[in-house]
Amino acid sequence: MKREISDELISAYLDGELAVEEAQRVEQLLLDSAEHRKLFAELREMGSKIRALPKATLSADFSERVLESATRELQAETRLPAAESVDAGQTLNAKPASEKLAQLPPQRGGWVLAVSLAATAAAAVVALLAFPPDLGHLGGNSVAVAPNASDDSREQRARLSIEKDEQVAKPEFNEESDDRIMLKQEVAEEIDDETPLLELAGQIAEDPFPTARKPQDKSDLAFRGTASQRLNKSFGDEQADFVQPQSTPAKGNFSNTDKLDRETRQSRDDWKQFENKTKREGQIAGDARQEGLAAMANEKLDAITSDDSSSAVPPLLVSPEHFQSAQTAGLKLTIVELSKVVTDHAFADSLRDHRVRLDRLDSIGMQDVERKAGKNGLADEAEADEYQLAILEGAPQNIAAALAEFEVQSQPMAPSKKWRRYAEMGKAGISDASKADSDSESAEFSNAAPSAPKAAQTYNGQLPSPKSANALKPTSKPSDGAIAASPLPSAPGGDRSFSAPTVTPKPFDQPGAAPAPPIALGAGGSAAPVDPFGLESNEPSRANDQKAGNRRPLEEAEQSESKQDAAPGRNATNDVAPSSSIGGGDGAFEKEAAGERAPQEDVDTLQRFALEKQMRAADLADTDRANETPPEPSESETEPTPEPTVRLLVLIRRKQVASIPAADAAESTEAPAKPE
Amino acid sequence: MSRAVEKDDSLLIEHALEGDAASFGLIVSKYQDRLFNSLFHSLGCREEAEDVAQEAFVAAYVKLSSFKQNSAFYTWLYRIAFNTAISRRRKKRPNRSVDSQKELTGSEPIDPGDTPEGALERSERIDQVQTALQQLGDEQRSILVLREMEDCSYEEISSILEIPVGTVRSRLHRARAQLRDELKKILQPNQ
Repeated sequence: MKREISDELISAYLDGELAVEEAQRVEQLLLDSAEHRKLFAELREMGSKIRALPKATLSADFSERVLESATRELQAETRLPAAESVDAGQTLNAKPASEKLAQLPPQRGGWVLAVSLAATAAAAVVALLAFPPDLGHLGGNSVAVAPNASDDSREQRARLSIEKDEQVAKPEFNEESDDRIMLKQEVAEEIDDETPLLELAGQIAEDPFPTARKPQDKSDLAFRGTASQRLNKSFGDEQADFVQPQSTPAKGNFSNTDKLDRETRQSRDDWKQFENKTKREGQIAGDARQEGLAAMANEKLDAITSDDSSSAVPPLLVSPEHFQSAQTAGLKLTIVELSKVVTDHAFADSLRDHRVRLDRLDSIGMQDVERKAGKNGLADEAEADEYQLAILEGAPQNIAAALAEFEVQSQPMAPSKKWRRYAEMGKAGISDASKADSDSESAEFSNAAPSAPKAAQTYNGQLPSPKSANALKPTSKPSDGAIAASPLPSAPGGDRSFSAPTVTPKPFDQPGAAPAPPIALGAGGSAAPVDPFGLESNEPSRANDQKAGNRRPLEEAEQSESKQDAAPGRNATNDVAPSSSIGGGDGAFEKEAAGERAPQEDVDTLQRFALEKQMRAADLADTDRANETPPEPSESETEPTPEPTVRLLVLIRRKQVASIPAADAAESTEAPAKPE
Repeated sequence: MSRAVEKDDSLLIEHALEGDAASFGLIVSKYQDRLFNSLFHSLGCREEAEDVAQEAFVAAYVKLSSFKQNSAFYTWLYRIAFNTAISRRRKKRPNRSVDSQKELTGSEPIDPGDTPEGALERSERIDQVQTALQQLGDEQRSILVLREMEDCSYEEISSILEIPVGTVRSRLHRARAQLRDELKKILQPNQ
């Protein structure tokens, strides 16, 4: 035994695989023992002999044969019902399935063949019964495309590869015939490359599944996936991921069959998910509609971010219902609805994915929204809130009402009273002044307006705060009860103040009230630097700083007038210490992250935050105009100056769902990769 | 395996995963002879070695997405190939080809300076080693080929054959010892 151990050590020593101490021992052994030296020499010579064996080589076309065989293997796999998990150590038969079948014993092979033929015939009959329409014009050897397939180039290669081969492989769903697949494929192909993108998106938005063909099985989802794919194709992979956050990464889809396999599984997963969603939400077309809208909104985002001149971007999409309601209300507003409803985590991820683009929206401060949303999302795991991300675009004076309108429609289940009231106010304020005067809610709102400088008792457009309910109650009774725009330019450090959209003063002006100039958004129209939301921004504003000189006297007037209204630390004062945390005045988000959530009936913190961002954006956009506006309104000034178009990125909490089904959560994650 | 080679492999694999079959073709070209040579000496049959090599490459191609690149590609490939070979051997006993030199016709480089006697002697020596190798068991032959022909470290052999490093050392020693005995038998048949 000892000899064997020593021989083993010598063998390892020959390979240089011994530790230093062991090597020293072997060296000593070799010095001491001639027998061991002989063994060492024999082993070394034997190794030399083995290494001297001729090198066997393969022919040059071996790689081509391998690739051909691999292609056949892949195609054969698609004919199998399910992908088999093959570890690295498992063997694969490179021959196609047909050859495998041929290799079976005659009796067994015949039996399998008979069963297969019978099953195929039965499936074909069922498919023909289910789809009697003409199938004559169906395309050729196309392969059904499963949803969430986002890589067009791979798809093209896979198609070409399959079509090129004579042995065309078609994905074989267990309970679906080829004819049915082809029918779905034909429907998908109707959306050809010539279809205008927006038209396609609108098509999906309107009704992703035509009435005659409501989704019945996974191939319908394949259609939907194809349509979405067309959209995603135009927006790139990033957008595709954004649109379809649950799509699995493309890793491993290097081959057509693997891709089809994955798509088959994905299609099944989507079907399950679809069923779950149907049960949960009771609506089918919502997802596809949101996908389409989201895609278009992405395009809008791209347009905005690529617009270095910050000029107004022509509206690309107006959600039909919002557009109509906005027109009904007389709003000069374009709402570009992103309508991205996802769970908080996916939403946060999406935002992170698009950070590059979002970072360019500095004026909106979207990166902060992202940060907060992500933080909030992480903090609110159990609640699984849904959010809507929207872009609102329009004239500043209409923003407030539009926001309210949008919010009301975004929360059809439980619209906030305050938001409803605000929406009413916004509508009335633009359409009909007299109606607004008689509107009880508007009157209520008017009475609730905070105090403002006597020069112009106004409602400053600030939205109600959940944490400062008193903000709606006048601390000093308005002199005339009018809701009018503040003629004041931006307050000093206006960017730190809560900037709010303002409403047009006209409908709320009480008889006798001084005519108000057009109201600027945010700081430009913020008469009373009250932050009813308890949100304050300590971020410096370049634009406002430049105009600090013009604002100074008015600010002092404001502060003196609204001193009792303004909560400590909330007003825009220069002595507020800069803070990197937006909303750091009350630490709303931090509190939320720690679990201290605001009551649901109040405006959500996220909303407040987003709104603050909107107001700031409007503030920045309005600053220039405010600079041109005389500090004091003149009596004769009745015509509003041209108002800039303001683009707002809105983050709105939509509603809360009780929980995310575990199945959904599981589906959204990639299946763990097999060990090598 | 140098890092540069691994990087090249990673790049090719990445392209292959993106659907570029030609990239995988390059991988095949890169490793086909090396793998085939090892398989040939392990299996002792050219046809079988070629079949196994092809199966291994196909399996690697099909399952390339599962390759996490925690190890070198060739290690992963060899593991597939050797397991494929073992699986085939279990199904049927190999057709041992004693006349392996003939199978290798044309593949062996001919030394122009070799005399006819030298060439004959060399050929005989190769035959002896091949014959001795064929007397070993599959495991011992595989581990010897990996060590002596592929110059794999114990760690790599351990990874390919999925056995502990200590087992590699002892198994390699036993394989060498047995090969030595077999060679002695061939060289000195009377003993």
